[in-house]
Amino acid sequence: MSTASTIGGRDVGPALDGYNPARRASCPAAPGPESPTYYRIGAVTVCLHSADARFREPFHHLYQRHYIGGPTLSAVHIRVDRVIRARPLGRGFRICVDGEERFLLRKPQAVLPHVEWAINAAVAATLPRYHQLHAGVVARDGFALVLPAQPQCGKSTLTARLISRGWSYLSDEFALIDPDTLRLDPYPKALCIKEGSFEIVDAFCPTAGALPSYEKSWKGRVRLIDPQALRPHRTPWGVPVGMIAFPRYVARPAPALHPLSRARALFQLLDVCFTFGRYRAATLDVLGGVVERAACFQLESGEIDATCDVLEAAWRAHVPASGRPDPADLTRPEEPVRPGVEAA
Amino acid sequence: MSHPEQAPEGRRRPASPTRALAEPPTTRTPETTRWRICREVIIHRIDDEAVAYDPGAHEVLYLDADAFEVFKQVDGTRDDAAIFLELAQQHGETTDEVASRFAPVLAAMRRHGWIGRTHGADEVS
Repeated sequence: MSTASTIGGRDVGPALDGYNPARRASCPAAPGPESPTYYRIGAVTVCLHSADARFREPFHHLYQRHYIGGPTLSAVHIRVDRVIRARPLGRGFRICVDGEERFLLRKPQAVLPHVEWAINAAVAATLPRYHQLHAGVVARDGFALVLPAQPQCGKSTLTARLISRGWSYLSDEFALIDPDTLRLDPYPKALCIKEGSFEIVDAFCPTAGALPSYEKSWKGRVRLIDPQALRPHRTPWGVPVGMIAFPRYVARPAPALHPLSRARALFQLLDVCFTFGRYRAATLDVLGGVVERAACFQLESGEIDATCDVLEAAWRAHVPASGRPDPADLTRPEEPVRPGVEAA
Repeated sequence: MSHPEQAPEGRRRPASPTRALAEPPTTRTPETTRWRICREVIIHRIDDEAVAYDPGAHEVLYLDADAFEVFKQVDGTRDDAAIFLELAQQHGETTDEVASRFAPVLAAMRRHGWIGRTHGADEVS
């Protein structure tokens, strides 16, 4: 479906496929086209500069709960402009982060996921203070479950299902670790679900099927889902880590959870740590402190609900609702990984 | 120089255990070679395992319990035989048993460039 949008009486071309402004009737109105709009998305503050309602309005719809009126001292500034360049690009869209060009795109359907991508890259590169892991994070009983993984491992899909099953959402992309407290702060961005998981998510979130899909480069088509649409809930802050499970999708129906030694977990966390290069040796102390307080597992994901069942059973066994998990209760792996030494 | 397995921050992705096992040591170690750790290393110990970090090269090494046992013996004064003898005494096993168990660990450390040979004060590899 395609609808037309105008700004100041001037036709700016077709709107994003599938985006219907009428469906946004219950939303607070997006701020005016000329003013930058500020959003505090958990620990990350974003300022969007765009005069184009095709991007400004759906972005505002996703993040309206995080909208803040005035400017703040530190924010990731994202600007979306129309540009006309020499061929082969021709007419297109330019996304700048803090004044630097990050993406040039031809299609409007590609803009919103690339805005999200640009924000994530800026967070990884510039967000001060936090040690950052590439991970999905949800919380329950006052503790966080961290799902660290490389892209395409199913973090976002698993995170979405856990939210719908009663977990609170912190992020589907970043675990932001406060080095002073070793607790996690949220970055509750819209969940980015790839096309391969559309059917899975539709099964537990019927409204997701009506959402527009966008083009995200080589990652294919994606949907951006407001986590509150999965289940209304509060976003927790300052959550200690209770459990770490490294997900890996295995094409078989039965999922499996294998205990992981904490040194091995630390080693694997370093591989998905965005800030290891920035904080160097201090990273070992911070992540070492995190794993020493957590139950650590390797997760072979399978059917989504069966995977969640396995995770929640382990959670109940290892992360008591009151008090910290007792390291003495954590199961050690029966077989050490051979050959016993692994470099990264 | 970029490497196909290089992560964005310049760290190499972990080599798979399978691949590490599949690669035989390229050189035969002389019996008299004494081993030393040839990097400035920060050790983060957890339980009976450890993660070693070389800030200069920005590389990390996971050491399981066996590997950490060996790593602690690599002090520049011991050769293979002395290391295996020490470990055999600690574990109450024969030297042959210990050698078959720990020799691959020593070889893997050497292959990854974390330990090198010494003859007196001169490091030759």
